[in-house]
Amino acid sequence: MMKGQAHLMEYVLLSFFVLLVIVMFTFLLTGWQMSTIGSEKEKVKYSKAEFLFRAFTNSPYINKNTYKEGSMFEDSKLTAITCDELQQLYGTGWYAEVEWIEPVDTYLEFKDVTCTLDTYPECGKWSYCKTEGNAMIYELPINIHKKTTGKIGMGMLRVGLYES
Amino acid sequence: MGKKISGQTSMILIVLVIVIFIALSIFLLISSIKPTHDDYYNLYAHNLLLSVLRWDTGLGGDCDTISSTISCAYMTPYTRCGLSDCRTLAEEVVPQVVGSIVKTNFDYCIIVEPENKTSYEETMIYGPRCDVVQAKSTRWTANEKILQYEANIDIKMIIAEN
Repeated sequence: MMKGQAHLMEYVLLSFFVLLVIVMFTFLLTGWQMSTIGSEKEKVKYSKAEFLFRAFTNSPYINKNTYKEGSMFEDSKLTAITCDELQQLYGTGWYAEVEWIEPVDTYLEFKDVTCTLDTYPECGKWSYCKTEGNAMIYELPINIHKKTTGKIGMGMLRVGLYES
Repeated sequence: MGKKISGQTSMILIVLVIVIFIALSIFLLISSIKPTHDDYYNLYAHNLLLSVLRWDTGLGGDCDTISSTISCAYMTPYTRCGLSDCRTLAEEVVPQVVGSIVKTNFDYCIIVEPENKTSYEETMIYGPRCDVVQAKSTRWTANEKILQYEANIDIKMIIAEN
């Protein structure tokens, strides 16, 4: 009777461990799958951000014509172009901001003013298609050419990709 | 017979425990590998260098842009630019300009050398933690060339997470 019980206990213990392994593997595979999906999602976001950066920095609609390497935004073009026009070119699900960055503090006193047709040229910020919602933000240094003075400054292009 | 079954059970249990540990280790190893997104950071490094080199210093002459200031600092270091000479100006302005735009979690290093550098030619280095940046295993590099009469200058920017 005792021997039979001992054998039974062994099988119960073995079955328990086998079950434990199956459960653990299920959790591991689920976790792995989740992390793979997460990293794929991140990769897609980076690719989309990179596409938008390359599109913006080479677009003749916002860049100064004489710079073949691109990334030289012209402030008058930035002010004239609209969100609708950009969305027709690059689709939806994103927003973009361009900000003048001045290493020497005294040079541009209007750098915090958002550029519109009314405030131009005494402004240093541009914003396109920004709405409410969570977004992953990526940034890229660029140059901005001030058409009125001929000054070439530095700027930051920020692209936000909305969570879909 | 009973002892044989007991031995087999123990063996199976040991194998199962080993399998659990191996699976767990593989999972943790894979989870710890972070994707580096090289394309984005290469683009970032290239644009960072380009935007810094093009920046208008407002001084005109030989130090019109950061690019011309670096070139002047290398070729004719004692030429006057504003209140100081080219080399001193470059040492002050380059870190200030790069520091104002680079991501706060990144270190940078700018290396200026003549094209086809020989052993007796000088290398100019800008960046507060160049040795740390160069020692990092994950880093991104951008290269530009300043075209000069008789001597082109190579400029390399290396960025790495701090």
